[in-house]
Amino acid sequence: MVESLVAITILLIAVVGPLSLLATALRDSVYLRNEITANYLAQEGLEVVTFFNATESSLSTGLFCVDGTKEGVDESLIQENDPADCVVKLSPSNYYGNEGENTIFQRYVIIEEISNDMVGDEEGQELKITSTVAWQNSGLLPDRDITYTTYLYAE
Amino acid sequence: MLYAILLTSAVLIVGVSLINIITRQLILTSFNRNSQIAYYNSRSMTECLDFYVTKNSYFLQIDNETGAPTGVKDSEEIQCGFLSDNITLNSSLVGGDIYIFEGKTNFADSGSSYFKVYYNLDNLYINSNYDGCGDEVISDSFQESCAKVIRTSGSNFALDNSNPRKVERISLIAR
Repeated sequence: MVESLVAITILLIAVVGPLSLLATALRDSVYLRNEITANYLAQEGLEVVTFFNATESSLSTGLFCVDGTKEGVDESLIQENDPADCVVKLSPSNYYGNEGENTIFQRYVIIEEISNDMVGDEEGQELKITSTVAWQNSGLLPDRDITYTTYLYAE
Repeated sequence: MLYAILLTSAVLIVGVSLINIITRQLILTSFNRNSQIAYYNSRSMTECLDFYVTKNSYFLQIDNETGAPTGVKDSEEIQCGFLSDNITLNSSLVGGDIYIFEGKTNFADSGSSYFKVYYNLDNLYINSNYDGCGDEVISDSFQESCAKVIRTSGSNFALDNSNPRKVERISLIAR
């Protein structure tokens, strides 16, 4: 009887151990997928602003939602007051932007003008760009956000 | 007693190994984000230097009469918003007509950068009829075929920090 119980216990540990490992791996892979997607969305936010800084005469400052699928600056950078309004959507053609179904991600960039005497003396403007992506993980996983910052210069 | 020591040793070895593996995993998983932070620090420095470099008169000596560049200045000070202090760049001749301004600095918040700005006077319109890389941009040595090259390395930690999470990324502009 005792031997049987010990054998069953060992077998249970042997089966439940790998099963829980598999469940954890599956949950972590979803978590990682969200992290990678957020990472690229945050990068895209900075690249969109960098592009329009190079092509437009001047950029407005403030908080903007980003849509990398549009062409014009007014359609790509939409000024908002609340980051919660910047929910990223997924279009039927699988592009992240402002059209389609809501995703778990919120993305916004903040454009700030930095006071810089030397750049000002050269008739330039220095901008601090912060791109943030926040998202809600399912289940017990914590909500996360990712932020990248860069500085741009305009003449 | 012997069995107890043997068992404790085995458990300790397994425990230490697990801690070692978990630490490595944590470092590896942070590389993606740290790499991007390092890259954008590098880009920030490049953008700042490029702003001053595109101002032809900033690092160059200019002939007052003709307005044409005649050489590079010995040193010049620049200001970037992400630095706590202004930095001074000193020039030196590195061969031929190639001059280099170089420096390194910590950022005000976190991160650091070291950088080199090459001026090839041969390719500036002082000595030739074009200003820039011309048709020779496809070259192993940008600084030999272009007029101005900015090569910047950015990091997510300070210059003297040896944290295993430290990452360096390079960006380059050739004009």
